[in-house]
Amino acid sequence: MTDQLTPRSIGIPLARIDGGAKVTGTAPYAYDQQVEHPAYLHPVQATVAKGRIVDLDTTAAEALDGVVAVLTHRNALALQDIDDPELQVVLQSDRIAFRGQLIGGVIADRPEVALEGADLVRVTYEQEPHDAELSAERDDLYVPDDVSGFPTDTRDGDVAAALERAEATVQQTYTTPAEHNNPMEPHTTVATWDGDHLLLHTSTQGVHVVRSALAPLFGLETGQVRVVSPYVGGGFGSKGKPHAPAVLAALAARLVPGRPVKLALTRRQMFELVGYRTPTISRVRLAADHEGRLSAISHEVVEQTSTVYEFLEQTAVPSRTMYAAPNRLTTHRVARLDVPVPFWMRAPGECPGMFGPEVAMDELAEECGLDPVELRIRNDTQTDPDSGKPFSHRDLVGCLREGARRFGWDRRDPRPGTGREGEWLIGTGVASATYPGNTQQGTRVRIRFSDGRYVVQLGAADIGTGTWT
Amino acid sequence: MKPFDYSPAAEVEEAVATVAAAPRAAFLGGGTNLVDHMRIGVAEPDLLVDVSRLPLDRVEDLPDGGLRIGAAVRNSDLAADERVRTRYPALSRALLSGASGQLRNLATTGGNLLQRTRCVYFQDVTTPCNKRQPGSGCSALEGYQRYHAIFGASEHCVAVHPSDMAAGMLALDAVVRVHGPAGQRSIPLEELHRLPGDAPERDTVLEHGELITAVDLPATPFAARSTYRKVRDRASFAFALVSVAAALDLRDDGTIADLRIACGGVAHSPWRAHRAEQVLRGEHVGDDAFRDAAEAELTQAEPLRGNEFKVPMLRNTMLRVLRDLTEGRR
Repeated sequence: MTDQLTPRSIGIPLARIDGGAKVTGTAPYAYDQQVEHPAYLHPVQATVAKGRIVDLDTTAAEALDGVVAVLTHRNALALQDIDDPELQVVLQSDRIAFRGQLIGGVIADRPEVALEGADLVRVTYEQEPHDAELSAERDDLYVPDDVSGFPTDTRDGDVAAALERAEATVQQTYTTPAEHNNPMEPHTTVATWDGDHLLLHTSTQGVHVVRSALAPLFGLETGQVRVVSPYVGGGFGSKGKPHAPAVLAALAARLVPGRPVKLALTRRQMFELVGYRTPTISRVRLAADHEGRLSAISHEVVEQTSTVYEFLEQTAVPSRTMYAAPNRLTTHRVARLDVPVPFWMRAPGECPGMFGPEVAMDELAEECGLDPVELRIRNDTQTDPDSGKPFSHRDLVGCLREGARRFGWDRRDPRPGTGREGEWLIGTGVASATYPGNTQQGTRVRIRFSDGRYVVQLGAADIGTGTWT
Repeated sequence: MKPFDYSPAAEVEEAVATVAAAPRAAFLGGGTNLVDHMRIGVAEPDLLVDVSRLPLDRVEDLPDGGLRIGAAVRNSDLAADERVRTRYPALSRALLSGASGQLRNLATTGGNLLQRTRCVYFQDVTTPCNKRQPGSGCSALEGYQRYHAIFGASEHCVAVHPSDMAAGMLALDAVVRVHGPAGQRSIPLEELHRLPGDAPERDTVLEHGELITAVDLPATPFAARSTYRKVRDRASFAFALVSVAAALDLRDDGTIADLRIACGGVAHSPWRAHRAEQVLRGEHVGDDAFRDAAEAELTQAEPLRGNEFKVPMLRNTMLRVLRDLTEGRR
């Protein structure tokens, strides 16, 4: 049987089976699905950051030629509690929790009319003072129960004492800005109700995730919801769960039973409705001897979440396993603000969380007069400093050495600003990066063998990486 | 998006007459800015007169050695024109630093000059903005100011003109040719755009119905030694935080016979750095003179709380551009 494992396709250039359809624009993404007699939905969004809707005048929108219906919290179907506030609050009350929140939608025969209708909805608010600015000096930062399943804080030894004794220290604060998902294909949904069955063509990284969230939200059995997503034009994590717009589309379709309702977010709406990465403020402290051996690593994070839904970025988690040091501290403190709901965006935790500590390592190398590659190698560990368990495989040192070799690190001029090619300053630098190799239980696949062929059925997604091929 | 009528124009006279007769009509060039504004409610014309197919799509030599650029010439075609690249390099570089390949393929010369500010408040109809809705207030005064003006702003508006091309052209003494209901006129580019004062809703001195038909670049002794440098938050597809276009005529003894310096991203109009020019005219090239020139210009800078960084950034950019243009001549 071993000959079956000889790879035939890995490492070989292959034409993508969907390549022709994609480059000719004929691959049917969610919004491109050919459906009978579609209606088009344009969202109405809150223009204040906090408060209450006291009046919502839809008369002008409804009077517009081509408008089919106007959806608001007054005529939206009641949603069930599914322990996901981001979804279950959609059009369920007059409360405004952030600027850009969905407060309605206009359904029309053509997308241009839906957009014009949305402009005609007149909303009167009772505005309340909002609070949307993150800072490390806030006195209302709270300690969450956990951060996306990880412990909020970890402590080993005594960082302060190690800093006192250290021959070299770095103590700096590093910030990263909010970062927004905006893949080439925006979030789109085509929702159709057939009696009490809901059909969703939607752009998602997990059809089963959408189904298992939306079925109970609408009080349905899982079998009453079908989710179809043959192609995804980029997700970056933002399509890892359904967001409020998918619920809006399903609520809107409910007003026009049997008629498919199409929703494609605009680029601008993407910034408010599909999750984003919190800005982060990282206070990093390193202590070392003059040979660069770390005696303390401390990474204290301040970040934000929304009042609607507590999503937390595990920003300090990578610092728990990157380098060895006897004294270690990581913390997460959170401001709950009147802002849009944050969510996964490409390497949540690792991406903003590696930045500060790696810059600090460079500063430490400078402080100790050491090569920054060598500093990282000296502080490598084969045991996870956090759990005490050995790594099954870890070769950071090999990566650093091979990278240094390929980049000609030994010929590098470490002085900044010395390499110039034309208009460009050319320099070299190094940073470590990590990403966990997690596995998940519970994958279900149906495999049948008949007539000499295997038939494999599973709920997969092709986010543009070539799964179909 | 409000319904509107669309009318392709075949002749300049007809286009001008049509727009002049309809108070809510607008000329449509490449549509890369106007159509966006119609989608988001910033502009609500009831008639679009398409002038992108008028016979204004050629770059022609002028008898005095200059160039006449038709208003419908696409940005990508203009940037690639051999005469522009060799005789007016600052313009080619300015064009290529703007937008994206797709947008440059559509955007026209006339439309580029008349594009509107990218101030986030101007582009968001749910916020006050004196430029979009006179008298409603300026949100940027208390808001996000990273992209705003350090020269010539007013209490009514601190927005900047976004065009790279215009800053490049300003350093080349460009003259804008305009066809209006009352006939034709020529406007030096420096006089086309206004400072905001108490009427920020008016970007330019053009009257309703006036159509830009061409931009003339004169033959000058300084245009061939010219360049453009843009500083921005991303390496591409971002508007200038600051930019500098400069053109120099050097004598053999290393002194500057004449020059032009224009800046983008710093004012409601492309900004001609007259004070810096005055310091350098007749001077020997060199870092000391360049620094004095930049300082002279920046004495009139009035940065906002959120864009104080633009002062040293503009100084450094000006210095770098002047060095690049004089390398080997110091």
